[in-house]
Amino acid sequence: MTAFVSEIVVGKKIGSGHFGDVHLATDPVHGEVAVKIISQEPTESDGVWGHRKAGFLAEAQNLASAAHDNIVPVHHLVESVDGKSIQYCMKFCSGGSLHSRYEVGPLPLSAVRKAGAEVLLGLDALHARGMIHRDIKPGNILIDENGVARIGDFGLVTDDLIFGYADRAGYSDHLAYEVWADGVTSVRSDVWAFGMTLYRLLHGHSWYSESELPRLSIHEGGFRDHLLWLPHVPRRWRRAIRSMMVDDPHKRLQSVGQVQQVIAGLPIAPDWSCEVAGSYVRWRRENGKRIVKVEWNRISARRHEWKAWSEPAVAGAGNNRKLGASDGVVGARQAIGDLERFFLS
Amino acid sequence: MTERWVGLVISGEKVTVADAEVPDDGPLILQADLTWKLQTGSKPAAYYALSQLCSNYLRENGIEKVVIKASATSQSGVRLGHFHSAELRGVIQSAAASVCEVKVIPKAAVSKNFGDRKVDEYIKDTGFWGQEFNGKPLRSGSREAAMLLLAERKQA
Repeated sequence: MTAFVSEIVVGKKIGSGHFGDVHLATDPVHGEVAVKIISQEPTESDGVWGHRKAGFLAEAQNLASAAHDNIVPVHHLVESVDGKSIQYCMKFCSGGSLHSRYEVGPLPLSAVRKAGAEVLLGLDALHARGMIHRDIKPGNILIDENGVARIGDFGLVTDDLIFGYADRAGYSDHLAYEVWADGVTSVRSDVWAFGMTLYRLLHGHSWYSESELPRLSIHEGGFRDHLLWLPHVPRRWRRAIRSMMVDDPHKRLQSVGQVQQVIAGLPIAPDWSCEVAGSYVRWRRENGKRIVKVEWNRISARRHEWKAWSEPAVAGAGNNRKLGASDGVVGARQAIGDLERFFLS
Repeated sequence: MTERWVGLVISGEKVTVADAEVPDDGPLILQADLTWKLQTGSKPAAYYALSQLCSNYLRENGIEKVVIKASATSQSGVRLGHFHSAELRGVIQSAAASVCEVKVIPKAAVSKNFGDRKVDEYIKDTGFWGQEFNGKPLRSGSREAAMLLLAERKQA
């Protein structure tokens, strides 16, 4: 914290965090930066705000001295003259957050593994420094100008902040079973949240929204057994994600190092691009001079049909070839099973 | 003075990691026994990812020295797999050298530096490992990486 007047020129709002909005800004030293403005809540007592502010300061001091290629650097903090807000000045990551990409649709396996591996490097560094992030999710993964994923938003500095802000922030979908049970976070609850992050990135927002909200069912236990998978997601990916989301933290993957080992072995080919649009799910991938396409129509909960074909990449350079299809309209279980076998082949 | 060292053995597409606190004498205290695997898919991207993982681990855990088992000729002939291992060994050496001191020692030198027996004999001797290491459990498959640390301490 400094007594100097900030020379940061705050510009347009570019996002919202749990505790305040994020603005694009210009800093005389660092140029274009992102500034998070954290303010005392109208209903927050001076004592609680003072405690929270002290937490932010402690965390920012850690982060400012903990430079890492996969963590969004905090340049400095400035407190307003009246002490009721803080400007949290960070590197501006021009690629935005992975939440924006997640909202568009499922990410290809290769993109998820790359971002995941980069996030794990940053998370490993945090854990090695005795810190827990507590809020790993697509919205807190920012992509810098080189396409590298960096962990940002270190607002949740203590366990007692988690439930106070969970509902408003909507991140309670990423809280592990034991956090619901006893409110205590750990390295292993970060692993759980990372597993959920991978799941969301692989499936995109539309698909994710078709299931019951996790925040309503994680506390009941066995959540990982109820995850709905897009048929192209390989079994090894499913096993890996489930192993990060075991209810019992002692039976879960125990550390970032273990997760890194698992991630390294995950297949990324064939690398389908996938779109979920209403009742339709469509896939495509290039295969030499041809494009392979799959279309799954979920006509209703019990009536499904699908077809797969290839077509020339250049129009008119050949004929379409049928690669597979459902036998007319079939049930959901059969369609999903057939699709999984098709993607496996 | 106690320092934190890491022994690395690269074989195929994996790196066996023995991370220990090394006092001037007495048993070493094992901090971690890990395996780093090369990602599937594109080799250049996988090498880059593993080099980042390696340098990240060494930096974040305050490792002061890395001891790597050197490449060696094979009596049964050199196959493509040996070249791939050698490539990975180079990647790991480079990544480690960006963080701390790196020693590359051949297997023969380990025997010569440490004791009367050959490395493989020490590796098979479970009682020996109970005497030489405390801390976290050491997998039998990681004993060769751990042996590098014992040999380097004796030599240093």
